[in-house]
Amino acid sequence: MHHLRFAVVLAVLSLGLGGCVTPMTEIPFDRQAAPDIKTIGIITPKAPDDPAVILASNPGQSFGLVGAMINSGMQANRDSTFKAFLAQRNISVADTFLQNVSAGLVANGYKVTMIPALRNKAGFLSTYPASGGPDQVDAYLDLVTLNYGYVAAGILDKTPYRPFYLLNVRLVRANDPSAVLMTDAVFYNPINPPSNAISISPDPEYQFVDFDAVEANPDKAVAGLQVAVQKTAATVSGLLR
Amino acid sequence: MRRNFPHPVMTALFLALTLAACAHHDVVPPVLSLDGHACADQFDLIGAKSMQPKDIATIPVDDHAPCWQSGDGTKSTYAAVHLPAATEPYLAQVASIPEDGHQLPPRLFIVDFQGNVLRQTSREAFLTHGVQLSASSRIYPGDYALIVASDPASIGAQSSQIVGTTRGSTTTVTSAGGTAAFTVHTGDERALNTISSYNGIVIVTLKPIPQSN
Repeated sequence: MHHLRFAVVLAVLSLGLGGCVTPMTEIPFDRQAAPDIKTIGIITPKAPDDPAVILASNPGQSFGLVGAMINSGMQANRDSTFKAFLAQRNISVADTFLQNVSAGLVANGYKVTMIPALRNKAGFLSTYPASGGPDQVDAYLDLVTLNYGYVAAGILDKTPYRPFYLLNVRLVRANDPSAVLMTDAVFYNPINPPSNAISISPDPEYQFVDFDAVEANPDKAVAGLQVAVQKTAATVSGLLR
Repeated sequence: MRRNFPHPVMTALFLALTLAACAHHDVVPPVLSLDGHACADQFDLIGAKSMQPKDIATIPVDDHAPCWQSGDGTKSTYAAVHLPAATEPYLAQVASIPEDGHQLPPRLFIVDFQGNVLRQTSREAFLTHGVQLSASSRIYPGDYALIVASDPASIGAQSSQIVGTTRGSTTTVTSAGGTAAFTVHTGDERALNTISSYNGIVIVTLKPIPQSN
């Protein structure tokens, strides 16, 4: 049962990285037309608890459920190994991402406030905090990390593991959340990059011919993921420039 | 005997040659200089392509594209689109797609009926989406035309994008026991190298602003 659950998760992740993620329609932010947006409240972001180390195509996929179960076991080992690398270095990807987005917004001239929120479902919040009160903000920034970690397109040397980070982002007006001021998808190193999401090409410095190479260079591998986080965050703040 | 119709072999040969000619693709070299091009100091809106709401227009920007010289003396090729009149804001998405290893580095200008620039989107705001450079802009009532112009400061710049892909190919195996089909999944990765040029292909899409997602 445990492996079956992993197999389903693996299949979903593989589909997601395979270009079947459906990003929302892009809505650009027009700062000139929204001069009253000065304070942005960043809602507690939604993000997976742990990184994923994914082989986007693998021989096991050709052998049905049994192959998927074998691969899910292998991926679980890779996931836990990379999770340990982050933990050993006291690195929280979620915190790093939030700090980078916040700093980018401040650099763009916004005042930033953190807005705590419970997130018990996937995707953007369906209802936002009522405006007003001590946390008075002009707009809410809703950040939904779909997945992050390392991915290889295939098993060959020419398809090395590289860091990835997949994010959906939305800015809504605080006093009228139905007014979407901006929405977009920002994908760092997507496999099968869709034409309706921003694709950030991975830094060629951080590539590992296989997972053994990742394990042999944990500091560099972690640094590569941090670069992915920083570039994704910088792109998000750039969308609100 | 006189034939009223071409010989079947000749017909097949003609068709094959025709198809071969159709399949042949002349490589379009990058245009990296506009020296010698006479460029106007204002956008030509008379020749602008008219678009309707929800239209998609693919516009080649080539050697014969109009050319604009800005106040600082730099030259740009451009494509002009006459925007439909509207009472509500809508979106214009502009994409520059790579062609034969080169790509037009786009800038976007929204102008009034006299060609005065109302708003602009810089080259830096055009981000990679898939393999294309694209950006969206809100179009407001009163906006007259949209200009997609090459960014002279970017011409000649080379870029490389790492693109990973996966594919599945189905294979059928027949034996005494019957026929079985299975799908083999493979991955690939390539570097998409492009040079920024004055020529390229631009796609403009007009669409309503989604109310919510």
